[in-house]
Amino acid sequence: MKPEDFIHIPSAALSPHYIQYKGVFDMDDLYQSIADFFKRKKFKFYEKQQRYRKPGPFGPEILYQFEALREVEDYYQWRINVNIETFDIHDVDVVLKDGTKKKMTKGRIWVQMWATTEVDYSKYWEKNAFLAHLKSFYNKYVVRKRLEGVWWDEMYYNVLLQLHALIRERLKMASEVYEHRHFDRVH
Amino acid sequence: MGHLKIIVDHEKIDYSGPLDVNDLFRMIDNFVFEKGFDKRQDKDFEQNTEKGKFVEWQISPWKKITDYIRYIIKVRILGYDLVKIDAKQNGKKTKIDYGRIIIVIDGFMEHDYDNYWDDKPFLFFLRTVYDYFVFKAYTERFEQRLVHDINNLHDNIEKLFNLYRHYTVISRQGP
Repeated sequence: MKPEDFIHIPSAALSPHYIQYKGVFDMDDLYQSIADFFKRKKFKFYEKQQRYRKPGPFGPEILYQFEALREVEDYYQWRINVNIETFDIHDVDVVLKDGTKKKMTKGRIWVQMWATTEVDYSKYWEKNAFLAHLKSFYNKYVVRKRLEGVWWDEMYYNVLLQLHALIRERLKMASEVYEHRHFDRVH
Repeated sequence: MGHLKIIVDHEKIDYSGPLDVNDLFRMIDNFVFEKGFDKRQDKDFEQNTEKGKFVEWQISPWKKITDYIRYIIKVRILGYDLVKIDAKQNGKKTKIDYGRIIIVIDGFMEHDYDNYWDDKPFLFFLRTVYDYFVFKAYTERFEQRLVHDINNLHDNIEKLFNLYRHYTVISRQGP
């Protein structure tokens, strides 16, 4: 019997969030903004994959896969995954408001992001059966409300929704508002 | 999955004319937050077309009422041919959006959201009996509150668009 067969609530996950956009955007700026965001939020940021392929004459498809990890406390960590894929992209010259010219990208972009709060990420409590059962009990009865109500909530509202708003802002979408971005904390 | 019951089915607003899309999203976000819902963003799509922007935006915020029941409100907004136009507001020139907006609101009530009562057919049966006969009075009160919230949201959207309103919200919030 494996530990995951009887350990209750090993993580609290979110349903994936999606953004799709078609138009002109600045891919460099978007990339840097995401990396900078995770750095500010004290995450370790990894680019797991960057795949370039050219299936047709309309432009290349580039896939970026990011993963960000933050070990918030000894017992739990936040894991955030972001997938960005671009389709039919090509460079265009754009004149900015101040009259300067800039190269930007025109095409379609698809963003998917999801996040998880994982407990006991170092697997310390799975060394033997007794500890694993203890962990299961702890998750189910002691820290359940905190996991689902506080740790998960902080990750969702302070990180994921803010990242979602940041991407919309950098893409200059019509829905670029996140009303509660400064709501609960200043850092 | 628990028992999902449709309380409000496709309440629709169809509007063409000047509007501020940002204000609309902000107002809905605020409403959802003030009512104590957790926000879930399902879709946020935008396409720049020749005639203007096409926007698809969908949220389905939820709120746990008890440890057995939760509300889910689904708001879907479709924007067609949205373009920026010049307008005058308080004597100042501003830019606002112009286009067609379709808003569809659904309200759901989910019983037994933790899925404690649907492991076995007998438990499933017990849950149904409980919902429809034992817990009936509470269920109806909760439904009434959800309808009231959605009526309120509908009314706020009509106010924002400055629509011709025949009557305001008359549903009474349940006890």
